[in-house]
Amino acid sequence: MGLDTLAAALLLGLSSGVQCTVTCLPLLLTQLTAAKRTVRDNLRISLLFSLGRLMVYFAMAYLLYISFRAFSGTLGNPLSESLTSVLMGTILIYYCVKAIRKKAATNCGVRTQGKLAHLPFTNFAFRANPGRNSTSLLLGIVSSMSVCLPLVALISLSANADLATAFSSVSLFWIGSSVYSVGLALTLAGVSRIRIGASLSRRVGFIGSLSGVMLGAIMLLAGLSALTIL
Amino acid sequence: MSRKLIPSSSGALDLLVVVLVVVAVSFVVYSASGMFIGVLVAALFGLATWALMVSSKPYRLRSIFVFGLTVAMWTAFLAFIAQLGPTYLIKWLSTHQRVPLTPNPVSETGFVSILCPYLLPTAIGKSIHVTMPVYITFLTTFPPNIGLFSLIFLAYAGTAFILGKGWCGWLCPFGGLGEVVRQRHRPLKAYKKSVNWIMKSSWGKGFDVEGREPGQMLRDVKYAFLVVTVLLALFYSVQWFCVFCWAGILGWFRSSLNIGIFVGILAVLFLGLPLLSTKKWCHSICPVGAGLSLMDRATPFRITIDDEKCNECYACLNVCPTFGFARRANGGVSVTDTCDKCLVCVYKCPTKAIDLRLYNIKTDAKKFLFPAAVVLGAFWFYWFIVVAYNLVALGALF
Repeated sequence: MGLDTLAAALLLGLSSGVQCTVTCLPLLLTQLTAAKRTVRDNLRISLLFSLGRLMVYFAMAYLLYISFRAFSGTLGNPLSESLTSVLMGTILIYYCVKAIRKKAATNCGVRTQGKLAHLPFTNFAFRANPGRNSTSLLLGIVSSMSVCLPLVALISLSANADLATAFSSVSLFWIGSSVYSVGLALTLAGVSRIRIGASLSRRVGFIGSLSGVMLGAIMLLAGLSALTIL
Repeated sequence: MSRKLIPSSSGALDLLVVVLVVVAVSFVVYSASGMFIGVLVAALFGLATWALMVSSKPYRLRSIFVFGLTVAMWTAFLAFIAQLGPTYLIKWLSTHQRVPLTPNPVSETGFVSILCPYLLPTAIGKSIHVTMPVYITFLTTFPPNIGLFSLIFLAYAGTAFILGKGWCGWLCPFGGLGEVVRQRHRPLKAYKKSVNWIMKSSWGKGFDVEGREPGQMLRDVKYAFLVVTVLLALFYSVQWFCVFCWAGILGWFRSSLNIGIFVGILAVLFLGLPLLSTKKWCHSICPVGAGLSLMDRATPFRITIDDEKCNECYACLNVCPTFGFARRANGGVSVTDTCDKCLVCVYKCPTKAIDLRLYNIKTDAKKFLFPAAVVLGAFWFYWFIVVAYNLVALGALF
C-alpha cells in the first residue's frame, strides 16, 4: 500500500471537496437550517450525510475494482491506466462543462419537489424530513450516485490498485472531501444568521468547474499520449 | 489633469533622501559583481527613482521601467540559451525540475534553470561562476536546505506583501512584454469579430472579454489556473512555479505531439492575447497574478476612490489597461482584483477622486511605492542585469 497513493487520495478529496460542498449546498442547507442548529445537531447531520456518501463510495469502489480487473486482468496494466486516464478526463470535462453551463444536475443529482426527494436518473422518491437522521443518511447516499467529481476520483483510485489500497484510498478521499461540509455545518452552528453570499458560492462553483475542465484536459492528453506510445 | 508628486507633497530634501537610499541599496547589491557595474546600476536606479518622483506622468516611466527590466531578463535568458546549445538545452529542460528534490543536485543533473528563484541567494553571495563548456557549477554553493528555502520564501512573501498585485505592474518580466501594447485598447479586427461571434453564443455569457468591464467569470479564470497549478504541483511534488514556467512545462511533456499542443496554447495565450489587446494574460490567466490578487488584500498600497469627488464620468474604466475598475450598481466604481497599481487612473481622473494610499491613511503613498518598486526591481533582477551587462560590456556571458 503506497503512501503516495494514499496521500494522493487525501489530496483528491481535499481538492474536490470544495466543488462537492458547493454543489451539495442546497441539500445540506435544507438539513442544517431545519435543525436546532446546535454544534452537536449540525455535526450529527453532516456526519450522517457524509456517512451515506462513504457507503456509496465503498460500493462503487468495489464495483469499479471488479470491472477494471475483468477488463484489464492485471494490476498496473499500462493499457488500463491509459484508458482510465482518458475516461477520467472525458468525464471530468463533460461534467464540469455542464456545470459551467448550468445544465448539471443540481443538488448533486437529487431532484426535490416539496418534501419528496427523487433518486438520481429515476422517478423514485422518498420523503425528506429535514433534521431526521434517516433523511440525512439517505440524502448522503442518493447524492453520491450522480456523475460528478468524486466518481472521477473513485475511478482513479479503484482502477489501478489492489482492493485494500482502493478502500483505504476511498476512505481518505472521503475524509478529505468531507472536511468542508463538516466545517460548514460547524460554522453554521456558530452563527445566528446564514450569510452565504450567492455570488461567492457561484464564483467558487465556477472556479472549481473550470479547474475540473483543465484537469480533465490534462488527464485526457496524458492518457492519449500514453496510448499513442503503447 | 496631471499631478506632480514631489513639488506638491514633499520637499527636495525628501527627494534627495529617497534617491540616495535607492542608490545606496543598489550599489551594495551590484558592487558584488564589480565596482563599475555597481556604480552604473546604482546611478541608473537612482535616476529612475528621481524621474518617477518628479514626473507629471510617472505611469509612463513605470512602463519604461518594467520594460527595461524585461529586456534585461530576456536578453540574459536568450543569450544563456544560445550558449547552452540544443543538446544541453534539451537535457536541461528534461532534468532541471529535479533539482530541488535531490540532496545533491549537481551530481545528478549539473543543470539548473537560470530563471529559478532558488538561485537568488547564490547570486547575492557572489558565487556565480561558470566553467566551460557551459557547465553551471554555482549549485555547488547552493545546497537546497531548509534555511535557504525559507529565505527565498520570505523574500517572495515580503515582496508580495509590499507590492501585492503591484508586482505585476512594476516587476513582472512576462507582463513587461505586453507593456509596449498595453495602452492599446483597440484589438485587431479579426480578433474583435471572433470575440463578437463567441459573445453571441451561449458560451459568451459572463465572458465579456472586450468590454471595459469584463465579467466576473473572466476575472475568475485566473483562480482556476491557480487551483490547477497548485494541484499539479502537489500531485507531482514539484515546485509550483515549475508547473507553469514554460521551461518546466516542456520538461513534463515527452512526446512531440504534446509539445506541439503546448507551444500552440502558449503562443495563443502568452503572445497572442497581449499583442491583440490589453494585458489579458495578466488579468485573466496568470496563476501568479491570481495568487497576488489574493495577497493584495493585505498589501499597504491601495487604490482608493473618494465617492464624494467621483462624478461618475467612468474615465477610469477607459484608461485602465488591466480592467481594474467595475461599475457599482448604485453608481460610481469599485477597484477590482486585477488592478496592478500602474497609477494611470490616479493621474487621469479628472476630479482627482482616485488616489493611492497606505492602507486607508490619507497620505500620498506614491512617494513610498516608487522607491520600493525600484529597490525590489534591483533586488530581483540582479542576475539578469549582471548577465546582460556582461553580454554588452564584455561581448560574452561568462
